[in-house]
Amino acid sequence: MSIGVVIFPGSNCDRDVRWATEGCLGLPTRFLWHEDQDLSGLDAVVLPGGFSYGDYLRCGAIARFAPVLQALVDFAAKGGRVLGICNGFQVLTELGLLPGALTRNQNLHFICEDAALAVASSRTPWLRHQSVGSEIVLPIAHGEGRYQCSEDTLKQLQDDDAIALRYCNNPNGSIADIAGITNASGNVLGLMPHPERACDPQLGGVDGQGLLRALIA
Amino acid sequence: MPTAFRQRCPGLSRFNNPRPESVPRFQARVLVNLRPSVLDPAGEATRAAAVRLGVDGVSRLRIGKAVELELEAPDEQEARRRLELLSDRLLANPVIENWSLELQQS
Repeated sequence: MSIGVVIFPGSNCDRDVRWATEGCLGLPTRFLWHEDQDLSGLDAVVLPGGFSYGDYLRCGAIARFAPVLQALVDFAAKGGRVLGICNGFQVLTELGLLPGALTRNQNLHFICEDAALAVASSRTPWLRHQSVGSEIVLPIAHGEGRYQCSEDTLKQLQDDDAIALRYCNNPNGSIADIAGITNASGNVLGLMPHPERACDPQLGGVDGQGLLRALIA
Repeated sequence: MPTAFRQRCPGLSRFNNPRPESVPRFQARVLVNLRPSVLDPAGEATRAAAVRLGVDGVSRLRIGKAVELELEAPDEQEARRRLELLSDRLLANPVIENWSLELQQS
């Protein structure tokens, strides 16, 4: 049982994730360099927040071509759990593992604050421990977190029960207040809020623990 | 140069480089724009600044990207094919962006 945390050039939440999973929750964790292709022995892979490849061109656009992500596509297809946090969510949409795209916040601000989130689905392992409609608080920190997709995609997300988390007070203009989505089979989750920043009790909240425990559960 | 020879000498690209002197060169510009349905808050903020500058009548302002490229290809059709692939798969995200291509031989 082990978790892999990918490090891209420009990732800056990789150590926070490892502290949360290993330091706070006791889950075995190792780092994966962006050029690694060997995901053997891993139950879950986390794409952390940050600014992979400097966010050049578009957030996540260049990370998509990293060797580790070609291996990740197979890993996800076989049912391995994949969690994309913030920039990791942007990478998952560019990679096509999740639909839609993340665009510039409506008010153009980089928003760094605690966000109240409503659990929109407890269908997947990530939020099975929560009831639909219950609230959790996780920090957000992003300039480009406005979720965008076509009407057809939004309907598909609703039909698949794939909207995982919604903002209670939409901070960035995301369509349908979307903060996080899963794929149809539920093993891939992308979200803009940072669960790893809400695991250590000294940081003021532990609402992120359940999501990270679901990496191995 | 025959293909078979190139395959026999994979390490000698400096010496058996098949590119003739006269390989056509192309200049291209790919314009990437947000789809009309996607909000462009940066464009809207810039439009508001235009008003503050005293420039009247700007009713719409959308910000995109221009990517300038030079490439070598056997002919224009092949150059266009490569650039279309590049634009579709890397330079633009079709979920939120449209692109257009200007291509000319240099």
